[in-house]
Amino acid sequence: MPRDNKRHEFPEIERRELLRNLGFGATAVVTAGLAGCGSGDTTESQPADDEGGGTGTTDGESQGTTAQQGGTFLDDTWNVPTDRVPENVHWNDYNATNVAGATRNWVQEYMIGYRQADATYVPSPVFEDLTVDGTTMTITVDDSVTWHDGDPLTAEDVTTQVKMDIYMQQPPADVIESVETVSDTETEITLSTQNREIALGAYAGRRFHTKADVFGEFVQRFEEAGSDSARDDVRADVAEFEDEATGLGPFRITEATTRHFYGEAHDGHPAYDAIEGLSLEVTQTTGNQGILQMGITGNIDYIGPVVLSESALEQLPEQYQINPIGNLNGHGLFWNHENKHIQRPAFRKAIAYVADRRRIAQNAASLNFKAPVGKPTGIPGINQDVPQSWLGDNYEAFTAYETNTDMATQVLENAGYSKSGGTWQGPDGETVSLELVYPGGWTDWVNAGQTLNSQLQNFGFETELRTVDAPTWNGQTRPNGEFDITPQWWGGARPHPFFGFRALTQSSQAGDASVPDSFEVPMPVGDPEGSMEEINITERTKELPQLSGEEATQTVVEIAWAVNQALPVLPIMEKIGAVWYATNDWNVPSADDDWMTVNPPTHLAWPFHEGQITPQRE
Amino acid sequence: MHWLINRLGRAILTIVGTVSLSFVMIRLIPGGPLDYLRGQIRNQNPGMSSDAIDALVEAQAAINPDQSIVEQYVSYMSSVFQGDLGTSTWYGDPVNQILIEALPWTLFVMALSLLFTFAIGIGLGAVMAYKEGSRFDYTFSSVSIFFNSIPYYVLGVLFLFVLSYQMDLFPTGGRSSDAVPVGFSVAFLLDALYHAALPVLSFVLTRFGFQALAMRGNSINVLGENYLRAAKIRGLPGRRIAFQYVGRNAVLPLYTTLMISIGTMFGGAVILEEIFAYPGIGYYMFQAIDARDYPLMMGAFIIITTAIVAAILFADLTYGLIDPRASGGETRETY
Repeated sequence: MPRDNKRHEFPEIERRELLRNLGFGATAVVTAGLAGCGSGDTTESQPADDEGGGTGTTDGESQGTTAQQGGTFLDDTWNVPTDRVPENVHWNDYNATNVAGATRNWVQEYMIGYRQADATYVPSPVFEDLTVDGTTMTITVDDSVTWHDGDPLTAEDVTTQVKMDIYMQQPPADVIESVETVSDTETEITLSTQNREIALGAYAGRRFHTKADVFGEFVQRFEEAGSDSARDDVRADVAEFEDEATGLGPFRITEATTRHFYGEAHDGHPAYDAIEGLSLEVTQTTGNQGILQMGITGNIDYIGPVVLSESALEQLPEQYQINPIGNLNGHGLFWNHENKHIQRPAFRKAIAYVADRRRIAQNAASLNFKAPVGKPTGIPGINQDVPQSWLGDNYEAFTAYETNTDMATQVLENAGYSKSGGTWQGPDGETVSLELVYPGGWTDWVNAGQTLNSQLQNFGFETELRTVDAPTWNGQTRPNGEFDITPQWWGGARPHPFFGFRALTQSSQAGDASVPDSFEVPMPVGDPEGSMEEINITERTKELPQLSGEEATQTVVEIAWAVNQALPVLPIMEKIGAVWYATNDWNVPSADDDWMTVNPPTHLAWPFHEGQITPQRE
Repeated sequence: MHWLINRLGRAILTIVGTVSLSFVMIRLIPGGPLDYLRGQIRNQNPGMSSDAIDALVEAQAAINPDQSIVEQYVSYMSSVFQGDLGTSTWYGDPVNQILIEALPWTLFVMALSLLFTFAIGIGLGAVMAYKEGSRFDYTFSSVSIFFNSIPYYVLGVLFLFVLSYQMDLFPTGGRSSDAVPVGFSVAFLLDALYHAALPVLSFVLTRFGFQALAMRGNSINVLGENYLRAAKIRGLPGRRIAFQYVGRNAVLPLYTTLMISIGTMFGGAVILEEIFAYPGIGYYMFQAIDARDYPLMMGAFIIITTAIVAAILFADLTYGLIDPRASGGETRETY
């Protein structure tokens, strides 16, 4: 249970200084750099070509050294797909229209990643150090790192990123009190949360792209704005701004045409030694089908997180190594609490007993991409047993809601429902009728909906599955509550349960489903027959950032218990964010390597930034 | 003259009416650009809180504040009459700029498609008519019906997978190679033809059959006319009879079909250009529909509508030149 400040410990060693002292190049960070997180770690990479000189990293030597050895590359171009017309895009994350999309994974940097294998937060490779002491987070940039235009990375760039996030009301803003540039290389952030895991989690996966001399002007305008409307004006200008492709990532864009991005390895990036001499080629294609076809013919070296059918999966050549990792979020049933049946806890529980979560996940897109939720707790990380690690011994007492129609019948009958002519009727004698609304273009979700619909009908509910196109679903169906049951993301995509609970209670999707703040829950924790108490899940969740240690853990347990018993939402499955790396021409760490589990960010591109993925040589 | 003004006036009214109707209908589609944006942000940033997503969406909304549909209509139509199609909500660029850059490529593919479709269709149809009842006629009638029954996008997907991805004979997308500079050069023209080959082939193979069968039917009708017997009795050469008597009369009804095909091909380009990742008018229209990008959608729609109306008007105005029987009557309609 004492997970809060133990398993998630952030490495607070001076990583690069340590490595320099040990005599390794910057890319040696890949293996030993985070030794502070687990000194016994070994990274089991792909066996290297006998003549290529690529070495495994179990001896602590970085794969990054491969690029510095003799022989020509088997492939000197890192080929990846994009669904955007390259010459049309921009690189400003705050302008969501037609931003560069997945290409940013190779061109921009991140602030923090979350390595699921050892439950550790890892700082961007462009940071020398990142520490959290009480409510002070200190980020020290690596002064040898440069932007793609050659300007050195400075602490002011980090400060600009944090300030822009605050002014643009972006995710980390709610955990930050203030930010200050302390020196050329050091930025100090004062946190509004006592809980450093929540602080780090808020920044996990966040892109770092705000060069001070580009975005500083906006920061200044925000600071000079005297009113909310003036700040709104600046915000609109930021949202309209189209930034050039100046980043900090491993590749620098050199050309953008209608069909391709071209780039080259950036000599100011810490992974440069590992990728020196490589080019980047990003090819435009249309959607997942185009990407799949490029993969089937082996034309690309990386396939981002797409959901593939079993048959599509079988068509991919063997050269692709699948790297599955839980996305810490997934498909859950957000049921409309305005519905008179759904308002009844017994009815929600009955559906939980009817819905065969494993079958739904299987039918949605196979278990390669969807992990069925075991016990609903609102805490993601199923494949890593994250719920168990938070809930400890209490986990056993949580209700599993394993598929059991007899139990569902009993629960319903106890609540006054009855079955007539094979159809369930409510206590008022009216037939139970439910409308399930799913976004039409999201095939895996629709498959899940069809399976659930079938299960509910077989049980005797009168249900109808309606599919609407995604913009309609987003713009009309959800906000107007035009559904009895609709799927939504649960889990928060962050390791700390706070984010998962927040998604269930304080999100727009929770608002769309009219999820109440409070529920009657049997207490104490672990006793489903206990006396009913009202638990305000929303308020308890809001308290979490101010708690740490055992107090935080206890609160997590109570909220999870309330979720388990009241089922404000029914988590069905967790998304497995599988990506594919080509291993025929590239040294790629094995799928169970620690670095291949850094998610968020979700695209599993982090190993590339750490110099873990290198070209093979003849 | 009155007839010409009448035709032009009707064409303009048709365009304005269609554009106005489209304007209203597009805005009646549930979900707008901001809803699409919300979905995009959520898909790209699964960990982002809803408040943060709302903040980004609201910032975008402030760029184009809400107006009533009447205000939007008046504002839009007055801009259109001044030649300004607005700014794309998704791309952030002027719609004029996007479409002007994309239009030549679509015209290139469409022109080639029409040229080959009609050349093959007319030629094949004429021969089939002359050889009516022969094995050649039966075979190519069947082939024409078969290919005409295949949707062009199915053939497009098949070509892309087999000829591009599997056999690597054609590019998998794009309009031209990055290595070949855009300009009036043989290398560029060949490269553009190479990239347009599969989209053109998809259109031609699935459409030539209709023209061939139509031409065959027209030709057989003409072959039964008395004036042909008279021509033969007069001892006119067979080639002259074939081209000037049969061919010319049989092809006349296809003239209007050709003009209407210009419009339908623009419509077909929407899906085909998306399949081949070929950024022309159709590609951008597909993206615009998906993104609920009203200005870009309308801009592409105006071009397609105008092309159809202009083509039919052109057919109407010029039909008399190729068929003297139609030249005298101001009341005649070719459509």
